[in-house]
Amino acid sequence: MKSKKAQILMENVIFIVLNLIYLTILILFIARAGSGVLNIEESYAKQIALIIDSVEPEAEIYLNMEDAIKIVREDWGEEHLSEIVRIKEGFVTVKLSKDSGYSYSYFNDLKVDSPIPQDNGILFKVHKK
Amino acid sequence: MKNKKAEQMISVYWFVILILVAVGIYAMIAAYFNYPTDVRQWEAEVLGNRVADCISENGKIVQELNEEFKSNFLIICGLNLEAQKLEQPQFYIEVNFFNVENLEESIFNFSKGNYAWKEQYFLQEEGKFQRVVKGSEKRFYSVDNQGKQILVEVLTVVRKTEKNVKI
Repeated sequence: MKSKKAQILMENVIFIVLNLIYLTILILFIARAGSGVLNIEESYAKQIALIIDSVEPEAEIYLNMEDAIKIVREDWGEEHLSEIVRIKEGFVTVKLSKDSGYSYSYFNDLKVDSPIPQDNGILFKVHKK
Repeated sequence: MKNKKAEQMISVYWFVILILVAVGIYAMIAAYFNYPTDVRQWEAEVLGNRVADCISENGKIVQELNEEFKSNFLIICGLNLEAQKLEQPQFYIEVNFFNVENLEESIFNFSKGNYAWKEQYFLQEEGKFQRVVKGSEKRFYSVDNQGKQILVEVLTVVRKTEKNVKI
């Protein structure tokens, strides 16, 4: 009788543990899906292009890029932080790993200084051409 | 014995439900993240604002409405529509100035970019080619240097389909 009860308890415990593992995998998958390098690169490139399109000359812009900087520090190396954002000839390019990168164009004809990496973001200035 | 069979059936169904839920969530996430973020509507709005700010300041038209402004509009307003260096510019800008006493006929107008995008934009109102272009229309009143009230209409259209829509 005792072993029957123990067996039922064991079955239930295994069932609950399997369900918990399933739920954990599902939650981790959902959490990681939105934080892919390609999505972040696209999102920041478009965001920076829209910022440049909106600003007036002589503006100084700080953009928080904490998640992107964290990815670069962990996967590509601290020395590559200065390469995350490049703004040149009407294009913003965001690169978070050696083999990736995303570019988007802007229409505001301004001279944009090279972005300076900060602790959790980048700082850049725009000037009249 | 009957109870045991019923339990087995429930556990089979349970796993089928778990798999269905996982497949459903995966499909939803894949559908959401595989599409690029479409920022063209904001781009068109920002471009429209920039054109309006260049033409009028504090309710007064600050540009001379002449042929020189028409031909050098992009340089004067600090716009570069050809950064992508594609065969066709990815933008279209059209500005019309109307005397408020006669809104039928514009007194001055100019356009830059690819006219085809304007046609595409107005086709969208008929429910066709919904994703090809995005645009913005603005209307505001301003006063010219002779004190006359002018209605200014600004239409901006952005294409950039490849970067904003999954083809």
